[in-house]
Amino acid sequence: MTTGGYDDRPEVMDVRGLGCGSVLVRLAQKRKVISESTTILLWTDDAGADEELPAWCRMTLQQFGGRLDKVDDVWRYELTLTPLLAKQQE
Amino acid sequence: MSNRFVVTITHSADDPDKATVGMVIANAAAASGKETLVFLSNEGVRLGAVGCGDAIHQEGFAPMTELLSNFASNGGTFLVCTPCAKVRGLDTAELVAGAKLGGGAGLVEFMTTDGTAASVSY
Repeated sequence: MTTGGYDDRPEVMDVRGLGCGSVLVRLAQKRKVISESTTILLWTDDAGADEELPAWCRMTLQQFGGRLDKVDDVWRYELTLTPLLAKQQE
Repeated sequence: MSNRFVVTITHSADDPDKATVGMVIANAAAASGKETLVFLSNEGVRLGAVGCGDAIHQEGFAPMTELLSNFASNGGTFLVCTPCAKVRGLDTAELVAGAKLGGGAGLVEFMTTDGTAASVSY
């Protein structure tokens, strides 16, 4: 894949409306369905995300790209996820 | 960092707020790669029986059925306190996914084997 092309844009994961643990569950589910390292743009309105997302990334060894910006009441974070292989899920 | 995590839940429909938050924490642990056990005791045993948690949907959180199934699909397990279930006449013939009947020994073994487990109680 070349850089800068349409397909390289970070994929948006819109988890607005989900609180606390539910966002982490979605992230864990996402890791199960990707086949390669994937950078995502997470949209959330969870006010605890500044604490929760870095903590989850530290525990699961995922890359926290930081909070990018806030538009209205929605924060956008960048995370780079690695696939969670079936063997690790057992 | 300890890799085992225990959430003890002692409530169900009698205190849906506590039961729900307990399951939210359990889901956060399982989704963070922790080997997570939910110990269901006292009124909490009702969550382990199929259908009993269906009516619980605490405002601001996912419905209990979703919390229970997500937890199991992320590898989480439940230990249902057998005497607690028995004294309540709870039908344990059909348990939710990831659940099995057990008791104190199973809980203590989980918490003290392969390092120590962190735990919280609701």
